Amino acid sequence: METTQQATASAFVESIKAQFPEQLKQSRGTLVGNASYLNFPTQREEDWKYTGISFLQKEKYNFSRFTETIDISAFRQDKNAALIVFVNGFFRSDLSSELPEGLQFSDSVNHEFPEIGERKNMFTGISDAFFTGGIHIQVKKSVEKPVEVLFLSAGGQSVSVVKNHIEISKSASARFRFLFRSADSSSYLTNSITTIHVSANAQFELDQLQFESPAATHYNRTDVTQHRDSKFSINTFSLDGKLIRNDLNIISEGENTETHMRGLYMVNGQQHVDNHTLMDHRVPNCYSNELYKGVMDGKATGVFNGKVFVRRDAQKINAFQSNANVLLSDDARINSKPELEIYADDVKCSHGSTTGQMDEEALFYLRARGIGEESAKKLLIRAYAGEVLDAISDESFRLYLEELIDSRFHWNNV
Amino acid sequence: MISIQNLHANIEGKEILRGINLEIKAGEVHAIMGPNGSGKSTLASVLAGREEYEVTEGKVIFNAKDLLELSPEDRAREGLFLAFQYPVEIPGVSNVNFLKTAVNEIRAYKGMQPVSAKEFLQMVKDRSALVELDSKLASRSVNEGFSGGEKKRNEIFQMAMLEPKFAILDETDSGLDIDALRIVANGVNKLKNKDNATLVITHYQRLLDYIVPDFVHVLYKGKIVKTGSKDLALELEEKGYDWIKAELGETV
Repeated sequence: METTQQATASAFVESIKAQFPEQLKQSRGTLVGNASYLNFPTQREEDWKYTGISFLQKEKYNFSRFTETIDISAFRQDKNAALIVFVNGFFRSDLSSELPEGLQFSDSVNHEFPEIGERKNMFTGISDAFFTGGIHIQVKKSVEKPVEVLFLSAGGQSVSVVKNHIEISKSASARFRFLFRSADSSSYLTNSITTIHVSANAQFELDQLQFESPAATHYNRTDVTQHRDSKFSINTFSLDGKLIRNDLNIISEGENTETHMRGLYMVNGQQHVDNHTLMDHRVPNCYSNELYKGVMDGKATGVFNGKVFVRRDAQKINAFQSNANVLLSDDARINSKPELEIYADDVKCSHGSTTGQMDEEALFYLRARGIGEESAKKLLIRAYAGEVLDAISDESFRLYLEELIDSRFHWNNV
Repeated sequence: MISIQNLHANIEGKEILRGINLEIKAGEVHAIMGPNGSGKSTLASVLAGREEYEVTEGKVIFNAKDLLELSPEDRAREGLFLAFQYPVEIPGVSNVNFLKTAVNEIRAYKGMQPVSAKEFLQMVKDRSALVELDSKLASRSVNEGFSGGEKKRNEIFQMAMLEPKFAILDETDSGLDIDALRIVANGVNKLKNKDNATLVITHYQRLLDYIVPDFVHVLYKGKIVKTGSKDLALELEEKGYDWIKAELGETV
């Protein structure tokens, strides 16, 4: 059994390895060879218990620099934001804009990264060995303009392996937006790894929009380290994709940090979305707040696994976590597992998980006032999502997300 | 305006309405009174289109249309309005946004242009004043954190905004103190005209001192067993429902 497992694992990774551009191989050294030993995750592992990805083994993906002309205006949100564009994981300077002063940017393909050590898996291993680009940015001083990074997939059967690194210097602040979009409805794989360092007294907000093709697979890993007096917010909107898996790991390493994690996922049909989050409080006097909300329709399935870890000497921690789900059909499913692991005795922590259906009383109330069933459902869904959307500091991005949410569901089939 | 003919309705297999007949003409105010469990709220729910109720017999003609064939939203768009006994709290949906959507969907149904922002704001201002509803409440989430009285006033405010032809007030007086009751009743009276009609459902006569009905009907065990003038309400108040039961030859 083990041997077969090993063989299939290699087959998937080997097919990616075989496609990996020759000229990049050398710079990765032994990582390329080591990739052959990566295990394909199975549902026997706790971490992947409710998320099956065996279908990937039948897929053949290519690294493809998409060279045809592309009109990216439909995929970006804010014409006033600074823009960095990747197509199929390759940096496109021709589509990117000038960046504001205070940012030091280069394509990450020119950098060496340490291997991901903690909680490594096949996807982190693939990214260690086969990334073709990403942002490598140092925010040296506060930047007012939001920075938009568009990760576009085009042409079908592509694999985008990106590795991003963002460092916010001491007392600086910035707002980034990652937009994962598709030029068509093809099948492809996005494998995006991001490491973020928020230095002392710095502030950083990262909004992520995952609006991939309905046939796409998306793996997203974000590792954050926060230093003293820093503030970090992440808002993840998973609105389309065949399968989306987000691994978010945040370490609070300095006192008096503030952390906000919010997510909204809306899936339909046979789609699957999985959010694994870990908040690791290593030092005292910090605050973290987590809110993930889901709307599941059709035969969609979802996973929320949120862990808050308070280390032994991390006293005076305020940590809150909540996951709420609305199931719009009888066949939709969610596996929600909030976990607190607390080793300090003077802390204030709470967690909760709720799953329900659309409020039929509220729906009838709206309809009894002349509002059609479809608009009434949209109003209720938007209100439900509002709690997460309210966290978006940028009004225009918020409105843009509301439109996407409205357009997302075809209510007629409910 | 509305003609209810031999209406029978069940919920979960149990017959609640057992042949209701009622004609209401434009310009009229009717009151339905009756003891608990007589079917008053069921009648309101069936007319508004609540799907838990199954109509087994009879029909309802509203504006020359078969009301029971229409969805709840189309009933509202045709001009039917139900003031809920228990108004629903809807966190995250602002009163104003909700009403604007409702007004515009009703206008679209009638082939009219959406209301302009300016016109709408003026409507909100004028009509919230009608029920002395703090205009701040208009921008809050629908009924969220409202007191019992505010919720009922909000119902009448919505009624004022939607200008229905036929309004059903389902125990709008329940839980109201005397001041709130007067405010709500004044609002309803101001909205009354020769082209609309109102059906007041109540347990007590008190409300009918303020909203004076042209006809009072007594509902008992799913049927209208007595109809009279506003004096019937006074008589009921004085003698209680046992009097009706006795008159029907039931042992009390």
